[in-house]
Amino acid sequence: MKVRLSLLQQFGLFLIVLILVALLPAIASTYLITFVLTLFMYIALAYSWNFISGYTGYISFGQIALFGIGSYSCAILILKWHIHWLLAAAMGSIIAGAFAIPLGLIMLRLKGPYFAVGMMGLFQFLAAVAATWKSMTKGATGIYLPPVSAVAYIYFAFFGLALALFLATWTLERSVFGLRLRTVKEDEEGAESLGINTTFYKVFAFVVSAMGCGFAGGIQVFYVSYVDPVTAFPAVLNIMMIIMCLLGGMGTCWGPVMGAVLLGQVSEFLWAHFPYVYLILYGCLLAFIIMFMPSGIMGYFHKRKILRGGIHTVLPNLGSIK
Amino acid sequence: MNPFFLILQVLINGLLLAGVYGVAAIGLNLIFGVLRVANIAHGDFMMLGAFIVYSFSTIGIHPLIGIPIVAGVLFVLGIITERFLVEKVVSQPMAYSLLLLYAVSILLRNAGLNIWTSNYCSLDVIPGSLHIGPLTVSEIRLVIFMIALGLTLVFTFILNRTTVGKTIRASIQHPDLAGACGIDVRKIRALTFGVGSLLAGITGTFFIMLFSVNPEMGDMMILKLFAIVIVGGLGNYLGTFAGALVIAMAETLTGFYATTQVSDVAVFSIFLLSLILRPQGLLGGRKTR
Repeated sequence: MKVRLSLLQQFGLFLIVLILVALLPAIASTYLITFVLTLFMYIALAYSWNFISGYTGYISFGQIALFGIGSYSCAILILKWHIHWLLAAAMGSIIAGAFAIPLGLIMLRLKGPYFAVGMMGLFQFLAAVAATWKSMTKGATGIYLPPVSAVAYIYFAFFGLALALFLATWTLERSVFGLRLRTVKEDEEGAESLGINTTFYKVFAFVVSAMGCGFAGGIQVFYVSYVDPVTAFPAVLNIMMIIMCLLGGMGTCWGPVMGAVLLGQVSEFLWAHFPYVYLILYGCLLAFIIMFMPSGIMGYFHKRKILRGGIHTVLPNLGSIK
Repeated sequence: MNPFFLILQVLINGLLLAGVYGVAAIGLNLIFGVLRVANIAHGDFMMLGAFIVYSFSTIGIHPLIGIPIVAGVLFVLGIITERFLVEKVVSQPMAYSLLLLYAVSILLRNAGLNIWTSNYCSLDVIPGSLHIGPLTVSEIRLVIFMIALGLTLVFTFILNRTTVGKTIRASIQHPDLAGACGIDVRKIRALTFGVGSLLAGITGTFFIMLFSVNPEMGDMMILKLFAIVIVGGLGNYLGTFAGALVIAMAETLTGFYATTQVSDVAVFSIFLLSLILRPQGLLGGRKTR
């Protein structure tokens, strides 16, 4: 079987999905809406992780730290200045992005496992800061926000974010900028010797990723109308965004959305039936992916020639840093 | 209390803690040296050691007798992990082993949370303390420091004076050449991972006797252990102790003069600064970045 869609067909398919998504809140039950809403958040987070780890090969184990910054910024802005929640979430995203510039300049000097462990440390460090800085974050008590009346707005906000990140990735795949970003993963020193300012590209990807995470955090905090150090820095989401991206295929345009939709459904099922062991199963799934299908579903499709890519298609891989 | 004795007291506590950290950090350093793999699940192997001893003590086995049992269990577990998981990706790029060990870490931590819940546990083995003049040293810390020291000496002897140690060092220096000389590098890799896990497990048993811990302890430990190994320099065993001393002292001093949160900040700062300013470690070693 070979699937090869023309640009017009792709656009048509895309339009159908768009209309379905837009109509869903009007026809579906509240349960389905909240479920799809969570899926959109997963998609947004998977794309955010894909930007930094998928394209530059710098594996981050703590990208959710920026989700936490977005959450807290949004919550504090809403609480203290009564800003509209969407604007607050956007500002949370900008704050997370601004924070990511100096952070990226420092952290991205580290390579391989040191970057990974460093980000993991940052994640715990920020959670500790949130727990101790009581005048700003109210510590472990948490910040309560007015409850949400209409879920549909949140739904569209998450959809918009996921769509924006998808389109950004789609453009990246087809641009010289994206190719330069990839060179960081394939051979950073080689890229530098060709005159590519790898630091700029790495930090740029990091900042985009931070903004995506921060925005998702901001919307999520308004949705659950509560934030404390545990909900702002959710370890489960941190694990899930990594596994979703890997399952779909790292450094691909369609991989994160596939992984997120698949794993989102699996997680919904597991959460309902095995509330305690599902993280153990995630661990097993991650080990399975790494050992048997490191290029994810997209890689499998390419290998079996089910999907035919253009000249811009690069097989998903986990980088080449030894 | 005289401020001089006060600071001496803090320094002694730091030294005793450094001995404990050193044991686990050697394991991490060794695994890094032989396999070229950052064992991100090292803290979770520690957790496993701690809670196996805890389970044994609930059925009436004394924790100090539990230590050798933990050593055996963790050694076998380490070898299994290496043979069936890490060995398959050891020649692949770094991201494979990193993510694979992350999976192992998720697996172990959540298995731990399932079995032992997230409550904090501790074991009170020897409650007394020694008084030397104005100084106070709890006996359990002293006993544990002695065990840690003994373990380190035995380990150093094995590494430097025996054939097994020589083959391990050869595999660190040049894996391909070691293989060409007839050393079964695969076997050495499995053995090293086993020994590394064993050392982590034993350190875990020390931890549950000294502090109260829960199955999420791996999270905070892994950063400290990496900081120690990086400060000391990769593949430098004397350096590992220097690193352990730096981290333990920083932790005890900041913990004494400020809060434990500040000591976490201090450890994180040392981790970042040493990676950026001195990637080859305090006493030299392979470059880490």
